[in-house]
Amino acid sequence: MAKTLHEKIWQAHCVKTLGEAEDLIYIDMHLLHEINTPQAFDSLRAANRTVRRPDLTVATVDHNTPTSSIALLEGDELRSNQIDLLRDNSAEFGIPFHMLGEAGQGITHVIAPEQGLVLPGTTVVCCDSHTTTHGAFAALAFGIGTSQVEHVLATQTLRLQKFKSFRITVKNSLPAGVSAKDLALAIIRRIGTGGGIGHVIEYAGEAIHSLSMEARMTLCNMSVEGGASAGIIGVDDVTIDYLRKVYAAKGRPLTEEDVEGWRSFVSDPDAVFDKEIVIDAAALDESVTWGTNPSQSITFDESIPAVSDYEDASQQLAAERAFEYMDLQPGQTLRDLSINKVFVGSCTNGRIEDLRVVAGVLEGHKVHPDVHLLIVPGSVQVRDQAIREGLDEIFHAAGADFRPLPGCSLCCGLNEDQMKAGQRSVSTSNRNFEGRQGAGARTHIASPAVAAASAIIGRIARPSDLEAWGKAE
Amino acid sequence: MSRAQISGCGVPLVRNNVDTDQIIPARFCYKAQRVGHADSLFGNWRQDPSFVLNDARYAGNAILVAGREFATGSSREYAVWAIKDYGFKVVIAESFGDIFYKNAILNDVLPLKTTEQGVETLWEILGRDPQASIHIDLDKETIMIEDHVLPAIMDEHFKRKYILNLDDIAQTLEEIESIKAFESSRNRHLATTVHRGV
Repeated sequence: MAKTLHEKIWQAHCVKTLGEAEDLIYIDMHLLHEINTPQAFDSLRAANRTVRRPDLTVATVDHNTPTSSIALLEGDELRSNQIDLLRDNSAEFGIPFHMLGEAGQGITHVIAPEQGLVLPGTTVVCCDSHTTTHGAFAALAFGIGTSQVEHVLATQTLRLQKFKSFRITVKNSLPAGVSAKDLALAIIRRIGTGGGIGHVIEYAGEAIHSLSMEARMTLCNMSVEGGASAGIIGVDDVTIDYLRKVYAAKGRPLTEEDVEGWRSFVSDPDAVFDKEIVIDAAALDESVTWGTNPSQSITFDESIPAVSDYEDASQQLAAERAFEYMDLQPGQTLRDLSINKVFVGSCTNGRIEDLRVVAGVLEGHKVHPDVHLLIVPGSVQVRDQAIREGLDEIFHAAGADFRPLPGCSLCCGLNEDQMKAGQRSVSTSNRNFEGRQGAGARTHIASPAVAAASAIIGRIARPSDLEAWGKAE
Repeated sequence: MSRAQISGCGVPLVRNNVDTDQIIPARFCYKAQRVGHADSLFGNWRQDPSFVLNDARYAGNAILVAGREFATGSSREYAVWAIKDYGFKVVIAESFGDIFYKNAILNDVLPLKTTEQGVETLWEILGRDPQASIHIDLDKETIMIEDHVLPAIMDEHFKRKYILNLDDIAQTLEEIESIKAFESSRNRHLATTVHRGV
């Protein structure tokens, strides 16, 4: 019988069927970070259990860590304690641990792919909802809670109910300047923040296969913002070329045997999905969120909708709350909005390709005097690569604040990078929720290119606005 | 009384899309324990004196009634821990975020779905009568309030899991021979983080 990609991975990882609704699924890679894990290790010890497969587990610090200087941890008991607990728990159970600033450290979802830990046809879990990122590699990857972390540590499996399948076919190709982030925002606007609940979204179609691996990671990363359990993309030459480079750089070139097995990790042509939609990539444009959930986005040609533009009562309620929190009026356009902060980084857009886009827009310009442009690399490896390419010089010349340490930073507001009430940002991160970047902070989610152009002009803008703006100045 | 029958009073949280960043903002997720998070529940919203948790008429009520897409977003289990610590035993909503739903069952908080009309009815009654009794019967799949009988929606699998409240890990460890057999046939070329790490 024809199978979808995620069904193939599920079947290959089913250790045992447990009753009618649940399967015991083997986990190939388990990623840990400092915020959501100490309770799992405590319970493990209390029950006199151990970590079954430390060799399939890796720990890093990312959520609460400082990005300007490691010295900021001195005297910061709360954050230091979370970091120390993960380091000590990892040492106790023999789990590799990446300390802040050391080679290999970075945001979990940035370091795992760059270290070759995510392979096609595998299962990947992490105590973080953006684990969906790794679906870019044709892996079944999803976020779990702390109790499930404990279950994986103890058994290397999870008891799971089958996911439903949802194929989003993106036909034609994206117009120049329209990125995977814009595509993700367009999809979430169409399906809503709950449209993917209980489903694995498989992204298919020519527009998807022309995306780089970094862009695919951005798209799969945002799957959870559409409510999906996971996002996934079938293997193609782009996937294999990326993995060949990663493994060659680590001194263990892939064999043809490795590679050939991976080509089967695509959905069968006649596989049936529980849900399907088709999106025309050619009709898409750069998008930015205006509200307080990721489905509330508009393009530069649209204006902020009125409550009456929504048919659904719950969306009307959400829009009303968003106007108040974001201090916006229906009818305003993106270009009407002045900003104080621009954040480039996160597991969504903190990779080398994103930093290259930002440098390309910034080159020859200065950051607007009213704006603080914060650029946080996703990993030590991304930072070092950016420096090798001279991107840091472009950032400094433009007046941007390029941080030496990687981490989640202003995406979740758990370290020193937080916004004040009433401040307005353009962020390349994933969530524009109330208070996400600081109590009362107003977040507009956008692509790296839009973020960079906005930083220069001081209002929400896109790169094509720079020419007219330059003449007007 | 069996775990399939639960009675109590409710708190109407008249909002949709309440993500886990609202349930417990990240800056409150600093305690390395599963308990002690009651004061962090809706940490930002509780600064507002008019927020429903600050309304003394609802103090001690153990059933939270929210709207659509409750607890989507971040996977933080702190969201369930805060809800449980505060004293809620049940959350009724039209739909839930996937990760929260599982986290809730694993922490013995009942995540119960009802229809949009069911939520509206509960909000309306709880809004005018904070002491209105809610009776949940998982066997009959009903939520009763005043003279209304609303659907209690939960699939059999999760219902059984909640009612039996078993230790998942202990159960899985009984399958250890199957896990070992699976591991012995697993592709040895797959990535590892130590020993054969790239």
